Amino acid sequence: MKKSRKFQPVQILGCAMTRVTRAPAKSIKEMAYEVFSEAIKDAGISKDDIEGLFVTPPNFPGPPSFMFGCELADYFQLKLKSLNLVECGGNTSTAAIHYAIDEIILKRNRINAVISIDVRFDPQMDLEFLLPQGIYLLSSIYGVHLSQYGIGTPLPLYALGAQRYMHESNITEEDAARLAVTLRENALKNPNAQYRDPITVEDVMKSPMISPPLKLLDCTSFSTAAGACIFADKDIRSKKTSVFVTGLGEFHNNSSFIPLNDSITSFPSVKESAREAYGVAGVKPSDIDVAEIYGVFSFTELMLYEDIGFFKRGSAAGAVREGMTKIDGEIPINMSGGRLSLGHPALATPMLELVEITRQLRGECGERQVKNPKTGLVHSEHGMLDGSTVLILERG
Amino acid sequence: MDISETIKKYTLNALEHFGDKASLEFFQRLKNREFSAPKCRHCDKFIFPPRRFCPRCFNEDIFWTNLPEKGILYAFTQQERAIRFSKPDVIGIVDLNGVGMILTKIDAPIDSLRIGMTVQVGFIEIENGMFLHQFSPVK
Repeated sequence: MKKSRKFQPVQILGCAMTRVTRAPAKSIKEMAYEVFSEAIKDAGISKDDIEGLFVTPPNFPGPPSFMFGCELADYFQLKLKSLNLVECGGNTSTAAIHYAIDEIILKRNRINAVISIDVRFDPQMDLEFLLPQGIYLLSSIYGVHLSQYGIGTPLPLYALGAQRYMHESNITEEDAARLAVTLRENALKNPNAQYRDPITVEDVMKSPMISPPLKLLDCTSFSTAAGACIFADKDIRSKKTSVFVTGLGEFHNNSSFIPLNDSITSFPSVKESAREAYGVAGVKPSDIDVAEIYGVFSFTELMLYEDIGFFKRGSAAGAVREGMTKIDGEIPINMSGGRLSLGHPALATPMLELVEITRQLRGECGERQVKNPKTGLVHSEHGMLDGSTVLILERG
Repeated sequence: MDISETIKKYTLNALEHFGDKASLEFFQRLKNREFSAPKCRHCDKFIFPPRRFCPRCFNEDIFWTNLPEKGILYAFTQQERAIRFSKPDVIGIVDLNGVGMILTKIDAPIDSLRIGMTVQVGFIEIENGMFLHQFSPVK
């Protein structure tokens, strides 16, 4: 690692994740135990070495999350100097990670754990209970103005962005489909991925229309998974190949769920968070050897490749067509299968990205291992790219 | 349980609880076929979505006035699995000169729409007794 940084590197001592599935096979606490115990083992420490615990709510709008962090600390019998439950939509895991990292940079704690869980289940509660809750949820998540217009998921908003992107950058639906196919090819090599049946461009094009131009296979799905990571002071000896967080950028634009004050095809939150992260790590986009990008729809993922600085405006589709984002390409992206094929448990997604990049930098990824990566990038966002975080990871 | 009464009651509660008095007033004015929003006396700019204060200068000295009735269609789509409205559930973003981009219902078949079209405001009553704005192409 280069010297003279503005950012004190923080070590990733251990990490773990579950498989990504549609519905949970275990209870929320059993999933938390699985990833927490594995991450501790991976880090070569005892649970009593943990000084801070930072957790996400265990579900997107669903079971109660009030005091869930306290409950987990009790379940694991931890005595802690920091304990918090953090939430910021899709940026939730990264917000918890940011907090955990800061407490180490401040030298208040030496070892912190972050646990991210997102459990999806089909509501079994009766309508009388669900209906008022549902109305309140939609009004609180999407705001009183979007929710009245039938916005019940972010999907139609991203569809508007996708249409606009086609209009502005001459991108075709086949271009986006090609990215979905590339991601599926990556997922075939990842035993943790939710979707592992091979698909073709024709399959994507013929999949059911959801909200034009988005078709079923352009979209992420509901997913369940958990992940955990142990962050530590850089001087603590690592059992495994040392990996450090060497840069972090975060920016939130003044909008929630659709950036109507700005472009819906290129996002200040992403450009600004990437610029900050590259700056503090002292690296350029061309230095990145492997990246995990929070692309929740095929079209949006192409926009993100451009905003993060990998490709020029309007050229991401061409780069994907030429295989530049594949395992042996110039910048391998989303080797995990990405959000479209790994699966997208939103509250845990950035954590799963961090686990993938850590394992890539350690050389643990088997069939999907990128050749000798030294520098990696993790990206996350909330709403429709209203806010974004970028992390730079480097091998020690 | 009377489902439509429940939706009506909780929607109105949600408007005030998750918005403010200006959100309620905006929808009340739509019911009177008025497409309007508050303007700030200090910056002389529209406050949209409506709020009780100006989010630029945090001034509470606001007055309600009519929004432009015509705008330019910026993007549009159709929810094939509509949760709220029967099909076709066409929505779009309209660029209202001097106000900015607003998300709205579109009253036209999706195949008849093009980015850049001039569209004009109208109103629609929905099943919970509320009125919404909707835009359709100028003939």
